Amino acid sequence: MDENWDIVIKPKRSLLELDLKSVWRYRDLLRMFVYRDFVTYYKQTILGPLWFFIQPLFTASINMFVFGSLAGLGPKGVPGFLFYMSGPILWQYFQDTFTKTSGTFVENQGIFGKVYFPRLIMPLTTLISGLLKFFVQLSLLFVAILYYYITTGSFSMRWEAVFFPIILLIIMVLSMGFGLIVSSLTTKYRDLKFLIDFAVPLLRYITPGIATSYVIFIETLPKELLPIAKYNPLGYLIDTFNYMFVGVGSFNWVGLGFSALFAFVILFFGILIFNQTEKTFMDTV
Amino acid sequence: MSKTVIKVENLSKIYDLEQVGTGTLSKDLNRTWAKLRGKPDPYATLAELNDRTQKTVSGTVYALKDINFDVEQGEVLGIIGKNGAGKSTLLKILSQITSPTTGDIKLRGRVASLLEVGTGMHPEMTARQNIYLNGSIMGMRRQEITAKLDEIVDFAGIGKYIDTPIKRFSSGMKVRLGFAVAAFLEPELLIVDEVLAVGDAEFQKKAIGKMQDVTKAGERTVLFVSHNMAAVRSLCTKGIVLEHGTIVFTGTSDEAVNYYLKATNFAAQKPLLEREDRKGNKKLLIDEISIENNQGLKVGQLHSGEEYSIRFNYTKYKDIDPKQLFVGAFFKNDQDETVTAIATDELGVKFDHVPDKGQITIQIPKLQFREGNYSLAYMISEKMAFNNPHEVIDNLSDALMIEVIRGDYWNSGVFNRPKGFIQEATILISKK
Repeated sequence: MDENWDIVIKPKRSLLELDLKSVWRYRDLLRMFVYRDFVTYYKQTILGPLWFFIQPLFTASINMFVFGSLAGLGPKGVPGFLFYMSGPILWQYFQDTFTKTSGTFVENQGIFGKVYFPRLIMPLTTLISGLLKFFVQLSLLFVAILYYYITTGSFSMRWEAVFFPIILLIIMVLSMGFGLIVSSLTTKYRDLKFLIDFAVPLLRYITPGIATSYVIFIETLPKELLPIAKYNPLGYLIDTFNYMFVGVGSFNWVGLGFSALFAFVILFFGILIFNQTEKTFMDTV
Repeated sequence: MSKTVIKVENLSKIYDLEQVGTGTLSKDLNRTWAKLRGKPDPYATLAELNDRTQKTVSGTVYALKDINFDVEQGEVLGIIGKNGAGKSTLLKILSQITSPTTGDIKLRGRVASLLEVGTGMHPEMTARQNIYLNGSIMGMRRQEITAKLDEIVDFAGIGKYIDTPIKRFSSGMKVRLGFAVAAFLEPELLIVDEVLAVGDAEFQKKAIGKMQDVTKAGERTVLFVSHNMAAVRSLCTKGIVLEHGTIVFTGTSDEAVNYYLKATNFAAQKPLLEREDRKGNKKLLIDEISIENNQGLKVGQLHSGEEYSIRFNYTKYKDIDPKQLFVGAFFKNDQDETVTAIATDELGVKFDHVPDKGQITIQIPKLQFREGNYSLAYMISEKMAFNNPHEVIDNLSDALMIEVIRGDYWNSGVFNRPKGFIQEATILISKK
C-alpha cells in the first residue's frame, strides 16, 4: 500500500506547522474577499465613497479644536490641520485592522463552520481591504499638503518620506499580530472583546503623535508614566510618519527598529496561536 | 483497479458540553499542565458515549468513538443515522472544519465539501460576482470559474438576472445559484450533507440527476449524509449506519438502509416498559400501544383510507388532575420529520376521570397517511400550554413503528400515490 496521501487530518498540529502553501493556493479567494469588501463597503449610502474623505476631515477638525485650540497642545509652526490629519489616518488604519482582525473567528463562524479554507485568508483580507481606505485618505493628506504649499509657500514633506513603506509595513505587521492573538483568545474567552472595545480607543490618547507631538507628549507626561511612551511601538511609527509628511516629530532609527522588532515578534506569536486555534475553534466558539 | 481514497482510523471526537464560565479557565490550566508533563488530558477519560436521552455526569461526551472505515475510488458512501448519532461531526472532521480528538483521516485528491450551498454569498453583490465569490470559497481557481460560468448560469436558470444583486432574489433562486456553483466543482472527493433537501421539486430532480451523473462516471468518490432513505438507496453503493457515535453497520446501501429501518423498528418492538429512553415523572406509564382495525384485530400494516384505533394501555401510579391531562401523538416520517400530530388540546378534549388502570384510545375514522414508514411518539403531560408541557408524565419517541401500504382512499380503484397526505377534495369542471 503506497502511502502518499494528499491530506492527512490529525488531532494536533505541531507548533510550527504553517500551511503557507495552501494560503498561496487560495490567493484567488483572498482577491475575491478584498473585492467583496470594496464593492459592498458603502453600498446603499447616498454619499458613497465620499465618506472616505468626510471621516478624516471631520476627525482632523475636531482634533484641532480639542487638542489644538482648547488644550493648546498643537505643534508650533506647522498648520495644525495637517498635523491633526496625518496622525489619525495612520492610527485609524491600525485601529480598524486590529479590531476587525480580532473578531476573525467570532464574526466568521458561519462561514468557517461550513467550509474549509486556510483561515489566515480572513485576516489577510482585512489587512488589504483596509489599505484602500488608508490610501484614499493619504491622497487627501497630499492634497492638503499641496494646498498649504500653494497658499503659504512652505512645503511640509521631508525627503525621508521615501521610507514611508517601511512604516506602513510595520504597522500592518503590528495590527495583524495583535489582532491574531486576540481573535484566537476570544474564541473561548469573550471577556477580551469587552476589553478591546473600550481600551483601543483609549490607547489613542496615550500614543504620542495623535493629540500632540512626541516632544510635547514626553514633556507633559508624569515621570512615572514615561515607559508608556518609550515602549509604545505605535508612538515611534506615528511620530515618524508625522515627521515625513508634516515635518513635526523626529526620525528615530532606533525607535523604528524597536517597533519593527516588536511588531514581528507579535506577528510570530500571533500566527502560532492562530494556527493552533483554527483547528478546533468551532467546538468552543 | 480501485484504490483507497479515504482511510479513517480510530477516529474519536470528544465534546465539552459545559458553558464557558468561571470554571473553564482552571480546567484549561489543568489540561495545559497535564500536557506539559506529557500526561493525557485528564478530562478525556471521563467522556461518555453520546446518548442524547441521558444526562452526562462528566460534562464531556464522545460524539464519535473509534470510527474506522475505508472508501475506495468511485464509491458512493451513504452515512445514515438518527439525529445526534454523529453524522455531522464526522462530516465536519472530514471537511477539516474541526479536528478529531484522537485518530486520523487520510485523503487522496481534491476535496470539496457541501455542508451548505451558497456559503459566503453576499446579498449586495450580483449573481455573477457571487458565483466567483462562492466558487473561490469552495476552492475553485478564477480561470476555472470563468470557463464554467455559462454552464453554471444555465444550470441555475437565472440567465436574465446575472447582474442583479442577489438580495433581490427569491430564496429558491439563491439556493439554485448556490447548488449550481457546487455542481460544477469537479473535485475527486465530494462530501455532501443533505443539500438535496432544498429547492423546489423540479430543481431537486435536477440536483439528484446531476449527482447521479457525477457518481456514474465512477471517477469521483462521494460521501453522502442523508435522512432520505430513498436517495441513499438510489445514489449510494455502500452505506454505514452510525448510532451514538459508533459504526453499528457497514454494507451495501440497501443493507444499510434496511438495517437502519430495522434498528429503529427494533427499538420500537422492545416492550415499552423496558425502554430506558422514556422521560417524565412516571405518575402514569403507558404499558402497551397497539393499533386495531375496525374489526378489533391488532394490525401491523395499515392501509390508507381505512378505520383504525390506536390504543394506549396504561397504569396510573399517582393522582393526576383529569382536567389538566394532556395526551398527544406525534407522527414522524422516515426522514425524521414530524408530519402530523393528534392532541387533546387541539381537539378540545378534556377528561373528567382517569381510572387507575385504563386505556386511552385515539380513533382515526379514515387514515389519511400515504404509503411509507412512520414512527409514533407520544406525550402525556399535565398543564400543556401550547407545546410547553409544564410537567411531563410520560414521553417516548419511536414508541411504535407504523407501516402504511398504499390503499384506495377514494374507493376509485386507483391506488394512492406515495408521499405527503391525502387531502379531502373533489374536482369539478364547469362552464363559465
